[in-house]
Amino acid sequence: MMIVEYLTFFIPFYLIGIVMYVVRALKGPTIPDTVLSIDCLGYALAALLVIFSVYLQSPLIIACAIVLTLWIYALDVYMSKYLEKKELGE
Amino acid sequence: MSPIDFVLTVIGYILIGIGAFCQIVAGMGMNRFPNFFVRLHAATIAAIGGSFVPIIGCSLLALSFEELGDVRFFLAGGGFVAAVFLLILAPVGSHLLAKAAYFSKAAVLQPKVVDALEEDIRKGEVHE
Amino acid sequence: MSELYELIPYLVLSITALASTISVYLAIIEKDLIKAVLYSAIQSTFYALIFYLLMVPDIVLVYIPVSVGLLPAILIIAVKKTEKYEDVTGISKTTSTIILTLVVIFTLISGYLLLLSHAITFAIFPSTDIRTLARWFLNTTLWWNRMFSAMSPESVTAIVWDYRGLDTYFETSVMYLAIIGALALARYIEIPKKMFKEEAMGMSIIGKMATRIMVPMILIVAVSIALHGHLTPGGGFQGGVTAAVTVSLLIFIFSVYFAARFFKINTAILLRIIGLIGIILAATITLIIGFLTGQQAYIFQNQPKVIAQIGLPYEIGGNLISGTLLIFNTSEFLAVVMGFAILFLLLSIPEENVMEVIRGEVE
Repeated sequence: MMIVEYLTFFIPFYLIGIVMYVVRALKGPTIPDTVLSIDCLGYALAALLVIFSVYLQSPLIIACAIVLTLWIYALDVYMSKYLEKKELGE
Repeated sequence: MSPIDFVLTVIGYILIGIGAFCQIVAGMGMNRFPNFFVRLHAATIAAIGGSFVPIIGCSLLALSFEELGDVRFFLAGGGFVAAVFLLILAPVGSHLLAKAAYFSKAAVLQPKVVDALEEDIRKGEVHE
Repeated sequence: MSELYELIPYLVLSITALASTISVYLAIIEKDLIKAVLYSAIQSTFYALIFYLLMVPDIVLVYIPVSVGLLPAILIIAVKKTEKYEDVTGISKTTSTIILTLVVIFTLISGYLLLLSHAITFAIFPSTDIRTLARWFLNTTLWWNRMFSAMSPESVTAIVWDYRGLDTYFETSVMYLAIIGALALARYIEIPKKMFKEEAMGMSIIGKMATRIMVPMILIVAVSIALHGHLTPGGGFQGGVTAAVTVSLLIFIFSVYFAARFFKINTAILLRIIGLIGIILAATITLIIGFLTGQQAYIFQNQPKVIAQIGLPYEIGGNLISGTLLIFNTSEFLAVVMGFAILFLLLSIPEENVMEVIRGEVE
């Protein structure tokens, strides 16, 4: 048995975490709650992408995690710019 | 498996386990905390403990995974870059969101004990 | 243990499909448009995970920026400039609950059937059978025979820019026409030249400092995705949209005046045209050489073929560059990042200046 097969025990915990974030994101009473849970969701998915890259033994697909992290941060910036009620470019 | 590989594997699995624990804790906090500003604490655990730590762990695990051949260094390098990005960007994103949510009053501040920032703004020490 | 090992991707796929279906449904019935945009962003992140598990990293690298980043950005800008709430009376709450329950039940049943079929046949995911056409493509891109191969280990880039180069060329020109349309709509509108204090504009000092640190790192990652496009998943478009993050961060976190120090709109248009000229040159270079030397050659020809002996070198000093693929990726990177820079600059010009120009034209 290969060493990466023990990852099988850990992946369900990440899935439970992701499901809980989705529940908060869909329930969230205000917009900042939703954005915050999408943050956590995106970062957890980035971690899951790296774990799956090791787990499925395909190293070349790792760049997706970096790009996902970047764009989740960009979504944060857009939403806080929207909430600030200023002009977009100022 | 050489001793250094064994150590890397064990450390990697410990970090991934910490990450799994933090995901569960952060998910529970996200659902049970009363308002947005308290949920920021859960988001910290989710971003750093639940994502940064297991990515580092996975990179160490990949370094010691010799069946992959030379490509494992690509995997480990990509993992470290993603981890560094996450370490810098996640707290900054939370800060920007919290600041915007506070000053625009978009988030409910209902179970409130003390709001020091509001007092400072009233005194005129802090400007938006 | 090994059965569980096989089962984990199915588990992830079922949960992901269920969550994305529910969030799509909620995005459709939601009245608050910003929340609807966020729900569709949730769906996009889950779809990225599905594509990742089905082993198409090139699609993930395109899908994440477009649907998690650019689409919400443009929709948020549109909502901010117009109305926040939808004005149409939707369906009632009981109906929506019934539909949601049906959706959940349907997804659970289909996931269960998927698991069942996997338990019976063990041969659905991922398919080990490759059809003849796919085998032909994979063999010719990876097969190191000079007469048939595209000399690139990355079959997606080889197919996109070598086998089906004309399709990709027309896709690039569609995006070029879209940018031209945006520029035509925003004619006479310029970024206002005014003195500004850097501290007074944009977001907080923490965000500015982190952005100063991150922008060079993001650019390095983007350029490496683009330049390694013929070796690893990625390519010109993927690297370009990753680099477009930096432009949007500069505009949103500092201000459009700060970003205009680095990107003038006219300079961006010029660089974009240089990128497009690079694509056209790389497409026709074998044709030009063949015309000058009197040999047979084709458009979008990369490596020498049996009846057309002209081709570009596939390596320089032992480093694989796969002929024209490197030139295509670099030019496409330049064109895409400058296109998105133009769009973001145009969208973030303050509304007063835009209205001045529009009123001046109307009167």
